[in-house]
Amino acid sequence: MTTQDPSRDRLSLLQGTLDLLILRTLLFGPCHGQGVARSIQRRSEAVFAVDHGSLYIALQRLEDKRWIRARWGVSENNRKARFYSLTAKGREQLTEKTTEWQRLTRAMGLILDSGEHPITGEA
Amino acid sequence: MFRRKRSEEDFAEEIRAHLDLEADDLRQEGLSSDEARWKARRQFGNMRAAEEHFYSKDRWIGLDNIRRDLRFGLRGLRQSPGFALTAILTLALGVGANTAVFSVMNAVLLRSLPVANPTRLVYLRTSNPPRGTGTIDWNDTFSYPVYDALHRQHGTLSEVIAYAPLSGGKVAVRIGAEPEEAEGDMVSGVFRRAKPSSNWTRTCR
Repeated sequence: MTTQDPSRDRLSLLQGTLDLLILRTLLFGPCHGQGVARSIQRRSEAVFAVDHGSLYIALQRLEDKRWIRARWGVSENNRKARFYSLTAKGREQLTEKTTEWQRLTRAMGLILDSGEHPITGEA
Repeated sequence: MFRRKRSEEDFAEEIRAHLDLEADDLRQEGLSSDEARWKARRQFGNMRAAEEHFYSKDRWIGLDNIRRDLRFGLRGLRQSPGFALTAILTLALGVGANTAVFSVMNAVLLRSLPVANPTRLVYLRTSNPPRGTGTIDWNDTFSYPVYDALHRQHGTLSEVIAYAPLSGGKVAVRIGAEPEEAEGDMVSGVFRRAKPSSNWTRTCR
C-alpha cells in the first residue's frame, strides 16, 4: 500500500483537525513526522490525505505551543529523524480537544441523521 | 522562558530526513530506488513553501525585506566605489546647496519682511479670476471695492495693504545725490501703520 493514491477519493482535513490527529498519534509514544503522516493515513483507512508540508508546519506550531517536544534521534531503520513526544500540556489539550470533537460530531449526527421535519419537528 | 529559535537548516534537515524515511518505506513496498525517491518528493508537495512558512514564522517580514534591500544596496555600492563616491558627493553638494539657498532666502525674504509681524503676513489672491472683464483678470489683482471691503472688515485681517505698480518698467529715484533706477509701487495709506522697517520707509519715501 502506498501513502497516497490519487485514484481514490480523499478528504482534505478540516481546519484544526490535523493538530488533534497529531496529538492522538503521539499518545502511543514518540514518533517522527513521516511516521505520524503514515499512521494518520493508515488509521483513517486512507481517507485522509495528509499534506506533508502542512504536517511539518503543524508539528512546529505544536512545538512552539509546548504541546509536544522534539529530539533528534535514530529511526528503526537507522536513519536520522526528529522524534516528537507529547508533553503534559499536550496530553491535557488532547483530552480537551477530543471531548470538543466528540460533542461536535454528535451534534452534527443528531441533525444529519434525524428524520424530523426541520421546522415543525414532525417525524 | 526563552528557548533558542530553531534554525532553518534544522527544519530543512528534518524534511530531508522525512524524504529518506518515506523513500525507504516505498522501497519496501516494492518501488525501485529512483521511483521511491521521486514519489516521496512528489508526495511531500511544495517543500520550498513549507521552508518559507517556517522562515517567516515569528518574523516581521517587512523589516526583513528592508534589511535585505539595504544589504543589497550597500553591497552594490561597495562593488563600484567610483559610482558610490559620485553619488555621495552629488547628494552632499545638493543638500549643501539647498541649505545655503534656503538660509539666504529665509533671511532675505521671510525674516526681513518690512512689517511688524512677518509670520502673520498673508498675501491674498483669488482662485478663479473673472476672465475678460477688463483690468481685473489676474489672480492677485483685486478691484478697489474689494480692497475697501477687506479693509473695513476687521475680523480676520488687522490691516490690509494694497499696492499698484507705479509703471510698467522702472522709475527714476535718487538715493542721496545719486540718480538711480528702481521698481516703484504705489501703496495704500495703512502701509506705514503696519510698521514697515526703517529701511523700507526710506526707499519708498
